[in-house]
Amino acid sequence: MTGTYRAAIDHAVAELRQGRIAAQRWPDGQLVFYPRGIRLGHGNETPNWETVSTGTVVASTTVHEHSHPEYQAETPFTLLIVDAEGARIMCRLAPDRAVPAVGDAVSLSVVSGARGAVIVAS
Amino acid sequence: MTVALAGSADLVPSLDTGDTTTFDLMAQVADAVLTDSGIEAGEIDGLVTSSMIEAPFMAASVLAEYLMVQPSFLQHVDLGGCTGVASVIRAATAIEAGLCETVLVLTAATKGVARAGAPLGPSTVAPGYKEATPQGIFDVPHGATGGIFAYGMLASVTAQQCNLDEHHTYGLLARARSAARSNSSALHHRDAVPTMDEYARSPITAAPLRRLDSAVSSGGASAVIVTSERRARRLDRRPVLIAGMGERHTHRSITNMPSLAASGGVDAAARAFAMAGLRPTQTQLAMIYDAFTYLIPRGLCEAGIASANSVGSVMAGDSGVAVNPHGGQLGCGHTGVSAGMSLVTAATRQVAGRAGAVQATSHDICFVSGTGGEMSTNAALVLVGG
Repeated sequence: MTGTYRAAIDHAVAELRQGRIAAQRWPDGQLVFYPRGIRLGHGNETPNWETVSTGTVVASTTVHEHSHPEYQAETPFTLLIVDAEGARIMCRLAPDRAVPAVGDAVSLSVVSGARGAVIVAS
Repeated sequence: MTVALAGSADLVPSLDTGDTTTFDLMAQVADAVLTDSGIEAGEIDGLVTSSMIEAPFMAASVLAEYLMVQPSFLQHVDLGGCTGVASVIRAATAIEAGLCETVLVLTAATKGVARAGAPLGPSTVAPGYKEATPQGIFDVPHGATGGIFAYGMLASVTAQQCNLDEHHTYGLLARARSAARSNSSALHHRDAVPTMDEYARSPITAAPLRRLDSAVSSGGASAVIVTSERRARRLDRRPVLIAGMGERHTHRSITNMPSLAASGGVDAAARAFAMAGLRPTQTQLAMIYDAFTYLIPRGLCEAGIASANSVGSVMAGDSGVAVNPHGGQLGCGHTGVSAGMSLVTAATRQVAGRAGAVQATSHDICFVSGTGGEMSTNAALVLVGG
């Protein structure tokens, strides 16, 4: 049973608003985030949903200047790409934390703010 | 390979193109490239174009109609900074397939300061997210937008891989800006070369990038004519033969880049050199996509022109390989979607021996890279003098 783009994205966004990072676990074991309505070659399969709460750091940068005023007002902030079993997640580093090194383990949580859910690593 | 670059033209980049439309930039650069090449307008039977902000739908048809051409091959290419190189590849492929013989390849970007909209931000993704992309929904709300953050992440990786310090990146900036002083069509032609002290005081944008590590955003246009070798040999100059072409496209958002240590540019370059039957180390002239200083060492290493050990001397110009001798985007300006084509036009002049004050001494074998998005789209050309 295949899904749709909208259903997959809607589910993940709704889960984020509840504080959970919902990734898909497909029958072959692959963990996928952001979720897909269909995976090529797996059209008759249905993934299970799984909450991700940890990962390892792939890359980071601390942003001091941003072209958009709303984000500029939040500088400096650190962006991290986190890998969770091959699924990739963009997140913010918690403001009180030192920037972790590539390969370091981090825990992930979700903070709801004025513009919706933001994933925070600490 | 039986296809050649037969002419090139650029409009001088501008920090503010005001009310000028993309129609104007496209038409001006098209006329200039016909003049440069000596090819008649009536010979044009192919058109490849980048996007036009005035024409979100069927841009290539809109432009062909405006230019009053009725080509047998028509293509709109939308691959970010990779667009110029990828457009040449599409034109060459169409010629080889027999769909057309002489293709006008145009890229242009306006930069109207007064009418510039706000960059992509939360207001464009929050309520209407169902019409947005996954990147807009899952990445942008963190502030992961505007592109510089992604190149900050990539620069950290490159600095470690190539053992770079601020003297290396300053050296790249200084060489580009010095070259621009000799290049009358460069944005920074009249600007003093920044000092090391000015570079060290330049504010960090996204660590480790400083403001001065970014090529300055500007409006502009660049164009080439791609034609059969047979036609190119009847012109009044040395043909610039397209010997090798390659591409690899791996992601849109950097979040999904398979490895930040190696972009699709590695495979794009390997394919182009293999098609040309040349080794990367035979390169005499390297035109590397340089929206940021750090992309030069990265591009040289990913193409195999330099190694982590040799990249310092290649960057410094001590290896016999000329790197962006016209000043690149760091010297000439980053003309949006047209920036990648500005390296193709410069390469065309170099290989033909028509680059004037910025002509490289050895210019028979030239590598050109195109990099778009967040190292998302990657294309490469190997050009040889005919």
